Amino acid sequence: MSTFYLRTESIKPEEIKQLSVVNDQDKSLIKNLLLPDPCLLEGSRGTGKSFLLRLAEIEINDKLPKCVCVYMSFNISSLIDTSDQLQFYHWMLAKTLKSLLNSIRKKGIIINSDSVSLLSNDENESSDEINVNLKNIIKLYENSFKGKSEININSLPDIEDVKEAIEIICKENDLERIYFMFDEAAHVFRPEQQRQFFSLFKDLRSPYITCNAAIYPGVTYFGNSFEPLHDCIYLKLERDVRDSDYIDYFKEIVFKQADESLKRIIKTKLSDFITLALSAGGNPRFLLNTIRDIQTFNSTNIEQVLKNFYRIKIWSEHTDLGEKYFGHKGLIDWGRDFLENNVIPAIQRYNTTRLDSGKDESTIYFWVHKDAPETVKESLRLLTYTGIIRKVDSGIRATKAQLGDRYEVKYGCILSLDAKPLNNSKSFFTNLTITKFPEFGKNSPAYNHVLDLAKVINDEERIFKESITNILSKSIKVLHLLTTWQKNKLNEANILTISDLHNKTEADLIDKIYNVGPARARIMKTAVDAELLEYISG
Amino acid sequence: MEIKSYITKLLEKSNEISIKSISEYHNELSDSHFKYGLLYDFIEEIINSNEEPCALKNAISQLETSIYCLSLGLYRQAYSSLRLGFELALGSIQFSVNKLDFLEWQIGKQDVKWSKIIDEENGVLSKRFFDVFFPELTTVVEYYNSSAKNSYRKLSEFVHGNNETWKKDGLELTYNSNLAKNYFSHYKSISEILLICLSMRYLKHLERGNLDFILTELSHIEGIRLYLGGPK
Repeated sequence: MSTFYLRTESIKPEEIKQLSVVNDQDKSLIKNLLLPDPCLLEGSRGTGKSFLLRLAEIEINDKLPKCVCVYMSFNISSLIDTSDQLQFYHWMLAKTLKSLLNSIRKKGIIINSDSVSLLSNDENESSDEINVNLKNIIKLYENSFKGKSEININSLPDIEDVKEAIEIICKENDLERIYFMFDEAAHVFRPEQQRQFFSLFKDLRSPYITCNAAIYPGVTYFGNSFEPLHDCIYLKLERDVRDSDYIDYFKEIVFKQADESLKRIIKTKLSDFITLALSAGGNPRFLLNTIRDIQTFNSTNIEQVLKNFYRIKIWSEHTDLGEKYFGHKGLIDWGRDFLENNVIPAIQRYNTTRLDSGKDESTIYFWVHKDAPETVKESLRLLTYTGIIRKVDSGIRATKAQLGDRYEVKYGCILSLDAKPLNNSKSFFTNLTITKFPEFGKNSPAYNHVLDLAKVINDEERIFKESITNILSKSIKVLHLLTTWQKNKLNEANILTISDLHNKTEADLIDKIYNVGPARARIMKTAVDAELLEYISG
Repeated sequence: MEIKSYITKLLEKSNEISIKSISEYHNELSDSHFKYGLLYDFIEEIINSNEEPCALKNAISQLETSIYCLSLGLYRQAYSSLRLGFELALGSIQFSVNKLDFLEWQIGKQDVKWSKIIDEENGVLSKRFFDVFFPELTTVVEYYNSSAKNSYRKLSEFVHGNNETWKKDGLELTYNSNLAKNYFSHYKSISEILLICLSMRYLKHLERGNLDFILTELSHIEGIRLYLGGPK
């Protein structure tokens, strides 16, 4: 049976290379990631950003012996609720340096001196000044956000100390450069934390350091100190269905993970596979997901999966974004309505009219005037996160030479509306033309119910906390890590909601509840953390 | 040859072997010692959270010893120490839920028994064990149980001196690249199994913020990744 990896994180690092398919675009992206300049790699969910960062890491490890690559992710950052922004900055720095320490240990540049048991402490102590230095810096930062006691910020090492420490590591070990690959850099939709991240990203600039980060379109905030166009190389990971190698590329991706029997079936039903690949609109995860969902590879099943995935699943994922990105919920929902009620029907009408008049033209594109309301543009940006649409280009002239942006709706989202998608995909794709599209002008009636931007967007911390409040007010009944006995005990102690439990320390629980000692108290606290984490990481 | 010069010659030979080993297997040696360091750090966390580490520290010290033996060309000893460390570490996890066995082991009345550890119904790598401590990991228990059996069997061939192993290892102190390569492959599996088992048994009792390295090393295991806040 074929095992499909839908996430890079599920693949063991040593298996990445054998599952990889690298085309010219990928090669060029990897080449850029290996340059001394910092890069941001933008791509919708599931387009392969993590995979590409991993490939770049492998390339560095294999081909640049004088460089060290530190691959890391900040995806649990939301749990850090620091009292000031600097604390979050320090938290990130501590995490970054810890990962650096592990990477240089992995390369054998230094060893974990705590663990050395075959040498006496005296012999071991003097050998690792770097180790000690780096560890001290990490300790100082960790204390600054872990302890509730007041820490004098001025006593902490600043970013220049950190860069100097890294420079010393490089010089003493004949290293040319440390690459930091920040995956899921802006995964967490807390704009203030994202701004802090990009501030760190910029501050880490040094002749010995290169920072690269993977980000999502539409939901990333850079802050005032970071200008993406000036401060880094801005790379986009997009695969266009019209690319000449598109089908072969995606076929190879699937074949790397498929078993022999599936490969044989795909070869005999190539045109159906092509429809699935085109429907994914450049997203490997969508393709693997749909193929995985097909129980038996026949037309009925394929059509059913196509319709279910591109008519329902993909949209619910977009709506779910509103739950996590609470401040933008209004816009997320409006964007979906705009697409479903206006854009897609307009594209369908456009295609039907062309078909009826015997013209060999079809489209999955639409155009929006450059002066359309900001709310509309923001809603469209949010739709690029899930990849339902993609901004193809800007400054495109439409009717009456007006300027605007051209977008592509995912091929599958248009095709799946057809009663017989498999029968019609071939001619639909052959007739596809990017120069034909329905237009949405400056004051299109489709914007009639447009929302007031100022009212719906609020990226302040308060909003994040509000969204967390929703979770906190839930009953402890939802905590599946707790047994009924434990829940009853908590209820007896008047701990009814997640918030009640969250606010109690382990010591409180031990004090308050008979039969609860350190072990059970920890389990109870863990259950709350797990619930909050699950919510935040999505 | 007098004893002093005999030993000196052996040391010179081992020195020669270690130079070759470091040159050919620098990455593997680094990675192995790094993994040993992670296990060490994990155990420190267990101790910090007032859990009983039983014989974990002794166990993993044998991993370090095995790396050292390997670098000297003492391949059979490297394989043996690796097996000892592996068995004792899993045995410690088993002791951690059976205090009486542990206390008896401490006074020499009880041995670590591999058959008990690996028992598919009640051992450390059993669904029963995983269900209690980390039910999200039960999907991988069968795989790791079979992987543990496989590694243990292969290492045991060297411990018991099976005939085949003498052909591979020989009697003379000499550099053997194949044995080193084979050792690193076992080391890799064993260190992963140990990290999985320690995570299964202790992860939920430890402070999350101190365990970044677990997410890095075991992110491919969904249950662990999700628990530590990684993506779905």
